[in-house]
Amino acid sequence: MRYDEFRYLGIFLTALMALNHIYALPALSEEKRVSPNSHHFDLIEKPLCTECHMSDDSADLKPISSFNHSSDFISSHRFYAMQRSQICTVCHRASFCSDCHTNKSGLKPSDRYQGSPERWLPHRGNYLFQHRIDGSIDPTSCFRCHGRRNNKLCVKCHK
Amino acid sequence: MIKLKDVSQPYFILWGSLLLSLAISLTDSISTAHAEEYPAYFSSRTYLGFYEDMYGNRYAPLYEYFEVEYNRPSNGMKFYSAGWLKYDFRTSGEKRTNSDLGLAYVTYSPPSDSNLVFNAGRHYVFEGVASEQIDGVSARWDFARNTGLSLYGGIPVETDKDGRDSDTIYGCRLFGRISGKAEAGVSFLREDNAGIRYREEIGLDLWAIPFRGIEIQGISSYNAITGGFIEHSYSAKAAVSRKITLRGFFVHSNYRDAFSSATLSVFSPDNIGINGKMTKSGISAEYLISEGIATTLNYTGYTYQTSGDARHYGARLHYKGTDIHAGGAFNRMEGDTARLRYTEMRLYTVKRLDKHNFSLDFITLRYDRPYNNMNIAYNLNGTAEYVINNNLSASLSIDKGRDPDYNHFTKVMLSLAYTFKGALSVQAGY
Ligand code: HEC
Ligand code: HEC
Ligand code: HEC
Ligand code: HEC
Ligand code: HEC
Repeated sequence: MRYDEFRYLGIFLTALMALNHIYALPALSEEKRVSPNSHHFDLIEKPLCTECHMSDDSADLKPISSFNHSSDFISSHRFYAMQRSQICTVCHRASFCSDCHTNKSGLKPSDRYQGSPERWLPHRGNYLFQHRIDGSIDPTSCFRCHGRRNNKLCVKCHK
Repeated sequence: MIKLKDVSQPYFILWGSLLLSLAISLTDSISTAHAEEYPAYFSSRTYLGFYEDMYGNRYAPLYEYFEVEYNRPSNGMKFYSAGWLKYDFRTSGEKRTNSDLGLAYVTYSPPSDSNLVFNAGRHYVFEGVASEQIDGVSARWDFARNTGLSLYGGIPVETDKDGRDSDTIYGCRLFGRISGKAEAGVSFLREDNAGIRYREEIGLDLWAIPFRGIEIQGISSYNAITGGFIEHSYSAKAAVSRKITLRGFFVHSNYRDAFSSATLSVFSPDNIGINGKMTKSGISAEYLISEGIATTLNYTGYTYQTSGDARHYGARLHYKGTDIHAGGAFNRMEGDTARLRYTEMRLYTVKRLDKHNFSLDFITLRYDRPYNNMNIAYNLNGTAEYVINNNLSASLSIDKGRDPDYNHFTKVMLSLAYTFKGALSVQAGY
């Protein structure tokens, strides 16, 4: 049966929940762990975590300095997110990610945040011309965001 | 739509397990029933744009983006939803209205153990090879100090276009780590579209600090349908001193394996070349000149299996003061073909005052070989924002520019942003 996997998944998740309620795992909570919205204040600019956190602090068993949003954090954020995206929710609501990672996009991110040129945003300005060149240089990078999703607009020309 | 007879049973179990967990968490809270503050968040951003496309058609789209969040910290529950609606006042032949509910889900993490996180509804799953929007459930449990497991399953959103009948997605990630030193994860993803195996991917992700000051991370992902590697993508960062950070990266991807599930013709093997392989590697150095001033030098080399190579290099400068940002970039693409030879420049500044914010952004490209007799393209954006009060701000933004497709274009955007952040006071208990 095709949906068998789902049944097992459901059973497994239920068992997980039950187990977790039995063993609240007090030992684990000693390590400084992340819970959603634990930064009770808004940061408006890319943070250098180490400006506030002691250097020997660790978040999620990684040194806090790893998460510093330095100028090329945009090219490494994927590696942190794929290992534990919960740490991002300390500060980011999910719609922050869906501005760029979306199935169906209304406005280009650079049209939504025009007042923030200091942010890295995909293809600013009118991109229809330059995309032909960028697309041939590194199509893999485009594929992440347009290969299976967010490509209704493209179909007009790429039938 | 989903056929009920197909899915009712497994979905009953899935949603049942969620309800069970909710029930458990509710009983937690009933026992401590009292008047409670529930942090709530609401944001609305409305945009009205005016522009013309290259065929002279005019558009005046209105967009409304919203976000709602509601928390019950005492029992670890959070509800979150976000989406947008569009109405075009002036369009030629296209659909006037459109919308997307991108996210609507509940997160539950028991207050006694934040190492268990449970999500249900329409949400994102970022786990190793997975970077997916699903209608379903996901859970992550760090069941021991250094190991844990994530599981997810449901209906993928990306395959909605051709209907949802027999669309499924599921997968997992298992990881182990050495505190402060390393983490490795294996992940698996399987997606079926209309009952046919559409994607099956396996990934190995790594993060390590082998020596003090050196951080390595990356992923290798494998396409089990085509039997080849999608990509190997690795990066290394070295803090040479407090002021200098070096970063090197390496990406190798096989078009045949990477693009096998594309829904856009431009990525199809016939167009992009089935034997295409790309290797991209480069280095960048960030130097903090002084408080608030940073410069980055970067070099990237591209090599291909089937076409000429290219090199991209340049420099960026960024200044951050108390209420001002300013920056610039200069980059050169130097390829083996004429099309891949151009120079790119950017200058921008933002000034944030008490009630007013202003920004300017100028981007220009100079192509060595002219297209349509034009070799200089540019885009200039000017934005002014007026902060009406703590919750409300309005802005006007104008884009002007030209490129080989347009001799001249102008785009105007008006926007209004409203955010509410506060607490809903609710009398809990009976
Ligand atoms: C402006 C100062 C500031 C910056 C910048 C900052 N933090 Fe924090 N962070 C705090 C404070 C203060 C707390 C304690 C919050 C509380 O307990 O309410 C905190 C708490 C945390 C926690 C602990 C939450 C918990 O549940 O115990 C984590 C994890 C964290 N920060 C991660 C980060 C990361 C990652 C960055 C960089 C991307 C960062 N912080 C940047 C000030 C900062
Ligand atoms: C301590 C809070 C904090 C944490 C934790 C945090 N971020 Fe950020 N991040 C920010 C802020 C603030 C910005 C600036 C947003 C803006 O400019 O509007 C930002 C910007 C970004 C950007 C845009 C970068 C750019 O160059 O403009 C990305 C991408 C991002 N974060 C991803 C992540 C990911 C992925 C994680 C989890 C691994 C994460 N962030 C964790 C606060 C945080
Ligand atoms: C400003 C746009 C932007 C934002 C906002 C953003 N990302 Fe990304 N993301 C990117 C780009 C660009 C890449 C590709 C990076 C590369 O190729 O090195 C990427 C890649 C990723 C990947 C790798 C898989 C994939 O689908 O490409 C993950 C996972 C990811 N981002 C997670 C997140 C999360 C989680 C957030 C929110 C906290 C976020 N991103 C916010 C631009 C963004
Ligand atoms: C206005 C028409 C138009 C739209 C809309 C459009 N493209 Fe293109 N695209 C083109 C043209 C023309 C080319 C050049 C084809 C060539 O050189 O063979 C091109 C080339 C490309 C290439 C390089 C292909 C190659 O073989 O080198 C990629 C990748 C690409 N487009 C992706 C996209 C994506 C993704 C979107 C939507 C987000 C999109 N395009 C929207 C017209 C368009
Ligand atoms: C981080 C995700 C991301 C990446 C990577 C990305 N795009 Fe996009 N792109 C978007 C989003 C979001 C939009 C807005 C879509 C819309 O307006 O409907 C967009 C819009 C576009 C447009 C329409 C632009 C316009 O001015 O109207 C084109 C063309 C395009 N992308 C091509 C590309 C090409 C080619 C690449 C690779 C070089 C690429 N994109 C990489 C997210 C991305």
